[in-house]
Amino acid sequence: MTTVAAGRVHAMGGYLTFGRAERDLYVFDGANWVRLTDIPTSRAAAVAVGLGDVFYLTGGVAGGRVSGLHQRYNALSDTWETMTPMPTPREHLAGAAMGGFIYIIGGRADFSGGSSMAVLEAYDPQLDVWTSLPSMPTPRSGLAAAAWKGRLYVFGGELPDTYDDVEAYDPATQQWSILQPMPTALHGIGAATMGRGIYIVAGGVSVGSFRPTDQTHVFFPPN
Amino acid sequence: MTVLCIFGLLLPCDLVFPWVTHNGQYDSEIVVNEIKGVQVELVLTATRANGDSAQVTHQLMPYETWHVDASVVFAALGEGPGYVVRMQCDATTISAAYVVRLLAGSSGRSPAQANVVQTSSATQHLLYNYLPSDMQFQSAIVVANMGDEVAHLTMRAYQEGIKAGEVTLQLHSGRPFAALASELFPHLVGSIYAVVSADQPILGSAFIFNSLSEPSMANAQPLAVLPMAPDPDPNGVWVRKRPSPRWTSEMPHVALNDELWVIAGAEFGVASDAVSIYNSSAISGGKGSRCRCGDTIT
Repeated sequence: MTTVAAGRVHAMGGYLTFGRAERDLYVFDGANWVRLTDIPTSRAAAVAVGLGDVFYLTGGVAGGRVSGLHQRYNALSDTWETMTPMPTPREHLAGAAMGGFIYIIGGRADFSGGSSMAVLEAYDPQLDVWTSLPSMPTPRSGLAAAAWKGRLYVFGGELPDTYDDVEAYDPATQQWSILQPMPTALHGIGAATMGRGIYIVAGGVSVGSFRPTDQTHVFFPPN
Repeated sequence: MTVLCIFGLLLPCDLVFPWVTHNGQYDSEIVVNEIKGVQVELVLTATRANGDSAQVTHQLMPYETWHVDASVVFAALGEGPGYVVRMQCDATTISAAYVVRLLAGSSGRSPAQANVVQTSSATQHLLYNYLPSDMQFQSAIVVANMGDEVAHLTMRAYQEGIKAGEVTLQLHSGRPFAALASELFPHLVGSIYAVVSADQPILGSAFIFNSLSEPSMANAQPLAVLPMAPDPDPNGVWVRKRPSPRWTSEMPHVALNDELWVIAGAEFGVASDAVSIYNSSAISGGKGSRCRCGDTIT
């Protein structure tokens, strides 16, 4: 998992070998990766979302179980804090920060075909409270999410198929809309907003496999 | 000497300085060279966007280089917004350039130079190749209507491969229009290129200003056809970019300082510690670089 907090790239946890989640946390200081205070619990297939000088590490596989664990890391003090858990435990989920809230979308309870979720939950960092929001149209896991101009964009994913779906959630109307599909159905992807576009680099092309691609595409959302 | 000041009359020398200015912040210098050893009478007509106009004549001696400040030659116009200057004569022996200088800057009279433009090169599509609008730079579009009728202008902005904005306006015959790109396309941050199309022949120039308001300028480029960049789509647009240097899945992305970081992940099922950085603002249209970064993180 990777995110930006306090203007620096942080990377953490993940599977070193399948089934063995790690606890390491690193920050890139401009020249080197520097190890920081470990994640309190080993973690993989979670999502990290940066918000100013902190980031939130949410869900995933924690201590060998699919979890709703929700932890906050303060990049200024190098400290971890456990927050109110996410209501719906899940892994291979996605998230993004928007309007001061953390939005967590999709994921799965296990690797069975029917386990992918459409759940959207929002976290209020000020109140340490979660809110359930309208589910996205297409349940999926291994998806990517990014925010742009006040809307949450969700891309691709897997289980039971590999998906090219692009869907957007507007918090102002609490409505989902279906947008131009991805050129290729992909799972195991990330998404990042840069300029006017949302970039998606590489990803897996078939369900459950590590067969990757090198494709890079940018999505320009409607104005 | 024939009367030369009739707009639209094709003369041996018919040249345009798209944006000359003199006010408290900027001034301009016009430089004209006679290069074949003949005496030439120049007729210069300056016109502001509001229609205010002034005309002067000047006898240029054989091989003379005439340097003149706009505030001197067009003193009758007074200080104010910039203007387009059309220079006509009955000889083919004239070359010219102009300089716009920042007066108020801490570095002194910071200059920008461009060559005069042939009126005959006026076209219906003008390309402005580089118009940045960000924390460091601002840019401006200048258009002059060289036709005999009111021009209906369509200004299209392109960013990262797609048409990202469009503005329409009208411009009277013989008059200039100038605006910051950030005013024309306030929703666009970063660099764009723009095409201005018109139903009358137009000329123009582009300015870039740094954070001190020091200018640089270049003439806009005549364009035969509009770019084929895709229009905005109500459902969004996908554009293919340079492939990743790595074949990976399960890797997160983050954007930081106009760079896209793609970190670790699985390369054909094996955990990777690679970091790829993608910089879309590179002139090449995007470059991938790779560094190995210590500990393994997936």
